[in-house]
Amino acid sequence: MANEPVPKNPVLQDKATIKEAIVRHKKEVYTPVVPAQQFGFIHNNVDCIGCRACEIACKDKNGLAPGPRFRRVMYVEGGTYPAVYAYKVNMSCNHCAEPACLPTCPTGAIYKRKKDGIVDIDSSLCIGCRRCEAACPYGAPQFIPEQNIVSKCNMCVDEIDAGRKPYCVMACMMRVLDIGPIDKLREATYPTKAMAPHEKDKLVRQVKSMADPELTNPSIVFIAHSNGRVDEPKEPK
Amino acid sequence: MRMAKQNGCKFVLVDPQYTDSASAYDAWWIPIRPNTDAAMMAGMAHYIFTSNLQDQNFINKFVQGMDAGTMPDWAKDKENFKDYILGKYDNTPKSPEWAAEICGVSADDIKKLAQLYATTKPAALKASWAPGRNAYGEQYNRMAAALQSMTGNIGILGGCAEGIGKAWHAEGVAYPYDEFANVFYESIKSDRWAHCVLNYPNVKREEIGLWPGGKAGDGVIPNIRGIFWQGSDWFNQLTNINKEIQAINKLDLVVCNDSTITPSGLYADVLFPIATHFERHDVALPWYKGHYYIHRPKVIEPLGESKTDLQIYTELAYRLGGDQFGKRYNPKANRDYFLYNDAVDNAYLQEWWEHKVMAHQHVDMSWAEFQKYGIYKFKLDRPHVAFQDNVEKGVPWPTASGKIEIFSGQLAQYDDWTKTAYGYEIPAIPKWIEPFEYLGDKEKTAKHPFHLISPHPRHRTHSIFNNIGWLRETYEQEVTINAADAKKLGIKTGDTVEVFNDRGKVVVPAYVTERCMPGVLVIYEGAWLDLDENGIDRSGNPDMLTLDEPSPAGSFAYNTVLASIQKTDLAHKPGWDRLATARSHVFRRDL
Repeated sequence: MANEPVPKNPVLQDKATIKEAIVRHKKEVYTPVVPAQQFGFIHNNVDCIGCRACEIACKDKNGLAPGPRFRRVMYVEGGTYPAVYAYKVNMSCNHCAEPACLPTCPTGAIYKRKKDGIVDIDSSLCIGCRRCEAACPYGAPQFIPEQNIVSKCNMCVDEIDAGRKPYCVMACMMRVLDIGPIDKLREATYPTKAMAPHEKDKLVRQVKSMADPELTNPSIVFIAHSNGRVDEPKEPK
Repeated sequence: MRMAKQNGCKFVLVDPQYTDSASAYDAWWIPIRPNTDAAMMAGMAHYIFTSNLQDQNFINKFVQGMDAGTMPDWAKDKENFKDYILGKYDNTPKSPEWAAEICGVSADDIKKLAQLYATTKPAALKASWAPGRNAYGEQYNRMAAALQSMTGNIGILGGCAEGIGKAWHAEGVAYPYDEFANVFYESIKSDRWAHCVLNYPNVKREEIGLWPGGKAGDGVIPNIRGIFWQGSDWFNQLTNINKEIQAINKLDLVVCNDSTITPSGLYADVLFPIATHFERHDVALPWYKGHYYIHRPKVIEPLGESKTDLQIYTELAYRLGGDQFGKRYNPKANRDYFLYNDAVDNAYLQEWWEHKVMAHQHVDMSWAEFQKYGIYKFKLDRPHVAFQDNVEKGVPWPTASGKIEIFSGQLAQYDDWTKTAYGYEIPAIPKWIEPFEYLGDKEKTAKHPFHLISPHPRHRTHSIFNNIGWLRETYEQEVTINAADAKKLGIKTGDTVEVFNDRGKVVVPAYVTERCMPGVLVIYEGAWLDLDENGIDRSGNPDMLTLDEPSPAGSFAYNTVLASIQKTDLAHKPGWDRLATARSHVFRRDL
């Protein structure tokens, strides 16, 4: 790669230490809401062309100025010329089963819906302390300087309540981004255009450079690139 | 394309860059030196001929000049394509090994691709436009047509007869083609306007591509004193901007119609504020012939003093030519069209819909219904395949010979090229011709060792929307450079560099990647010019460096540019404001 890799923090590499810290923290402050049905995202890392129409649709829906980005398409590339590869990882808020942001909120502005597990921030209660921003391992909460509050993806709750899909999904011209009940998405039993039938074995909960899903149990699955998998040794293309 | 991939279609990308399309479609990437595609395709043609993989039946039936047997009787002594490829005329067989030296693709890869292309039925060679926007770019397009026809991939579903499909013809203009619409037929190649202005009267017609219209005044070099710009932004879009700046200072009058101030607008003496498409009533036709129409109602009244282009022209017609001229220029309008245009515009659109769209294209949706519904989509009874009837039913091709002319009868019969629209010779058969400048030019690369290409960006349309914050946030203007090249020059991602040649200089951040061929630089076209006091563009518009010499057939040589690159202390200005979060600064993940 072009730039020198950043040395990794040895403490953060030790899963046992992290788990222990999570357990200690959760016990003290928070019992997560268990929704009737947890909704989540599916994204095809390979077939996504990185056009970022989802990002723009999201900004349109949420009236965001340049700066805060509820949805983020990340470009990943590797290999050495001419044997190179590239893929995209597309993430907004993962509406985690155990959201790290929620217990950090001093005003109780962050809540998880019982119905579908959507995590949202009540902007009338948010004081803009930005603790949730620091807590989220995926970078979902976005500070909006003009309003001095933190806001984030709420999966377009109004669209969900009206029986439709969120703006990002509707804007995806490649049909590589979708939502659905996360348990069915994980089992590959939910019908979605984001995944071709023969791609079931590429379905993963985590890809490279993404925080460990054990931290918060995020409601997202990916169709991973062969070089983006964390569960297999990296094979050069 | 995604479904084609799911159904087992294999993709190959021949490009100096490993694009996002290549990754999404899991393509076999063949990096190629810019402006050498015609040579590579000649090498493929050589392999196909020498391996006898061509569809001789198709060639004999539909193609003129592919080989000695398909030459027209009157031209038996002229060069044919196969003998050119086999080296009969110049003792240089255009073999894969010959091509490899020029284009930087190994002979083995050229053979492998030729074998794959000739034996996979059907196979679509999508000869896209960028390699044609080069010196002698027409040879690339014609070479592609030769490959397509020698493998019989024309007129069949899954084949491809050109770069981009053009199967559907929308009904065009709804507004009046008045009796004065075109009273002057002379035209020049638009990227030569500055050359014409600066060198008048010592300009030859072939230097500016003066179009022979066969009318009075034909061939007279124009003494350009003024320019009326509409719907274009030359200072972002045309080649060799520094030459344009010199030329524009010599003009008496520059008028610019636009809805926002643009770099071109800054040079205008008169600036007309134009209504956007949200502020006028129209119907949108899809770019490049999609099979649908979209109704575009007037959503808001024009802001400020904005008027539509037609309002301004109608008013000018009345003021310049009096009531009679004004009325004949825009027959449905009255003298107050400048203030009230809604009813007139609707009348034109309705007439067009009823007498052209409904009458010619068997549309049964009324104008009122169409406005209500907002879109009309044609239901095609079969996929549109270009030239299907020519192949299946024997309908002659719309050429002089009625065949696919790999040997062009028209080009073969010119004796004085300066009296043609091309100005300079174009061979009658597709040939590899060395470009004005490229990586194979030892002398020129000693001074400027990199080849700069300037593809279309995906976060704006040419230069349009570069002032939209949301879009600028998705991408920052940058120069892409190969990692090995960058290492030699001590350049890292995010470093500000200057890219320059004898024509100009720009300042941009660098994006260092393994996905770009060594020796190649990439800067997307259309950044909004931002000159400092020394005439250096801080926004990174690659047209500061491009050559204003068009290819004989008329394409601009946007991608025929040698340049140098080095680190700089000068600051980059990403636009006329600072909004971007650069991909290179934010989204990198080092694996």
